[in-house]
Amino acid sequence: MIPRRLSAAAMIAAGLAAPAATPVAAHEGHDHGDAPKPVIAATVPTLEASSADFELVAVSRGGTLLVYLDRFATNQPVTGATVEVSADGETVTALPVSGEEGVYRLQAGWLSKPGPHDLTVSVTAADAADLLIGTLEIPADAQPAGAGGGHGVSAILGQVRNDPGLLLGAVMVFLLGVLTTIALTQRGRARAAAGAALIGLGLLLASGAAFAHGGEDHSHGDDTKGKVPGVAAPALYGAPDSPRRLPDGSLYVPKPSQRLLAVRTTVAKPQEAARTVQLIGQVVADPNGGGHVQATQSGRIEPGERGLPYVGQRVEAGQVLAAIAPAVNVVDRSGIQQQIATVEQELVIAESRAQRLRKLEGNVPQRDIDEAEANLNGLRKRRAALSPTLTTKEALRAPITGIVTANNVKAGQVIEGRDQVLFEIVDPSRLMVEALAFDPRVANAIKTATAATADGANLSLELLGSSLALRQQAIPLLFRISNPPSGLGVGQPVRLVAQIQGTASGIVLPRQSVVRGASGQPIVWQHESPQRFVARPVRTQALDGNTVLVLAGVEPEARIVTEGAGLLNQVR
Amino acid sequence: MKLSSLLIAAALSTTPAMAFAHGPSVGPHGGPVADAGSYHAELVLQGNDIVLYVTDGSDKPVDVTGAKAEATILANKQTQKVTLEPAGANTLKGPANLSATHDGVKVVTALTMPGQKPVQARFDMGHAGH
Repeated sequence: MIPRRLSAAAMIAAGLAAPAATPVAAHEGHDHGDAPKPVIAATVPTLEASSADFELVAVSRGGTLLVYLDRFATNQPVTGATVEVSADGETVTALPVSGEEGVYRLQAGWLSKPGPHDLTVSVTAADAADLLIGTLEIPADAQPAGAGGGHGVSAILGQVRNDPGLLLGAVMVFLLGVLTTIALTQRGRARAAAGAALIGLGLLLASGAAFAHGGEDHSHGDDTKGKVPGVAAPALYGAPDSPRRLPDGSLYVPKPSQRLLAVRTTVAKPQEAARTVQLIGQVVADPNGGGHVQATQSGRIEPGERGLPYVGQRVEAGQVLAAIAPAVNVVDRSGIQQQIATVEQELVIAESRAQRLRKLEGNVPQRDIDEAEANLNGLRKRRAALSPTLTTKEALRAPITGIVTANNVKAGQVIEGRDQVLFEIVDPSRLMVEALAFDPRVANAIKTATAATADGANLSLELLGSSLALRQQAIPLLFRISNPPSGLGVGQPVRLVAQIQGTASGIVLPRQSVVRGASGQPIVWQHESPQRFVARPVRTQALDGNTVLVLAGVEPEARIVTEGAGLLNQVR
Repeated sequence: MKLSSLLIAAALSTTPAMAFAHGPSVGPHGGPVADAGSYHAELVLQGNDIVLYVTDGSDKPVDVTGAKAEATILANKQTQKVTLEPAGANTLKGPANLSATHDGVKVVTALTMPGQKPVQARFDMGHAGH
């Protein structure tokens, strides 16, 4: 048993990317070997190197070297660079792989020679140039892998990358594999191995390498618990290795997987930022930007010229939305008709009297003529006032320009009383946010705030004022939305981040960087070495809707994953 | 046994990593210092000459008689190779074709001490003060 383990341990080291060519003479002064890094067992000969500008991973497959070139700070693939690899006195220019971003390929004789090779890689990109060094260890049994495999790999690789459907399928299969593993690990290690094989299958499809590798024994789940997963992998030359969680909790994610998950990073820079508090609020209508339409009398609804407004319709101030035909009961109606008849009767008498007196002008006192004229005019006005009461309709006009948000009537509906709200109109450009602050000191310290809706829209807010009266033991605060986006609704809940006085020092990261770890604590993923990611538990404070301030847990200059953190978190 | 196998693995794996891991440190001659195998090497640009000072792990000068070195220089996006010859005591020297600006010059040296394998070192002369 012991020799087997010793040989396994030796294989761990032999499979390493770390340059092992030089004699390690322990000497005082400083530590040449760095901090002991966790063992990462790459299944293929791999070289990792990085500088201030670039990060480079070179993978040897048979007689072909694939060079993955990324920006050091952002992990973005570098395209259009000139890559020259020198080793054993031979300089070869690597050619870009078509259909792949930032992948370069070369073939050289020394790639088939077992043993360590010191590589000098000269990279010339549009904006930067660099020299990178490293040692590639070609194991003795590496040659059998098909030398012509490179073309097959790249062809399928290109096909997969060029076809969105295939790419999507590859991602789906990969995720399926991950999920299957999660499901199966609960039931014994033999099934875990099957799940791991499924991941491998997904990766195989994802990275496009078509090497059939059935039959090999992935002895992931044997009895040696201290053993690093994938140790038996040196038998697997030619097969791509899968992303996996290492025993120390860090992640090993090969470059092809990083490209597939579109992992991007940012360099942590300490900054001063205002201290913030989080509040819950909701969107309300501005009193000057919202209106109700009510009737002043009971009656029957009749549509306006353009019909009844529907919800969501834009209306202009003063536009007639509907009309009300007043409801007059029978007793009132007969009374009015009686009055009209009386007035008309008197009108006839007064008219003939006035005519008669005008003919006798000069013979009758002028006072009588004026009296008769005044009486006639008065009766005409009475009739004019009485006659339309039965037919005149009340027009219901929009008080403001805006969008109809509620319509409570239908044509012909009879409305009673004046309390009934017929239409509600809101001006979408004048919405406000009302929030509740439970701490009076916070309410007084808030200067500006931002808010995010559930669907991720970002609102910048300006404090209008706070109420002096408490509501539900909290102080209502009112904010104006400076840039109301379309699609905002009254009553929509929003999450406010308000800046208060004082500053805090930390590292600003996008919200998506922070994910939940296995035990539920917030973590970020640090890109520690080209193919390794380490979880860093952090303490955060929301900065605004889209960014967080990391107060503790991240060292300055560390590279933190911004895009793809959620997907990395799924790797088991 | 698990522990022992891991220890062996760790011992085998803790080999010298790339030089940049140490960050920029400046040697007694004002140039950047990097690890070259079990040695320390300091690189200085003197006009058009490049000079490599070799010390051991505790920064004591090492006699470089019989040693040879080759430098790959990247300046202004052009690479050139220069052979360095021993020039007394612990220095190796070679003529390079450098333009006036030394900004952003990167140098990789392959040092072969007598009877040993070549070891690589990388120097970033970017802001070394030249």
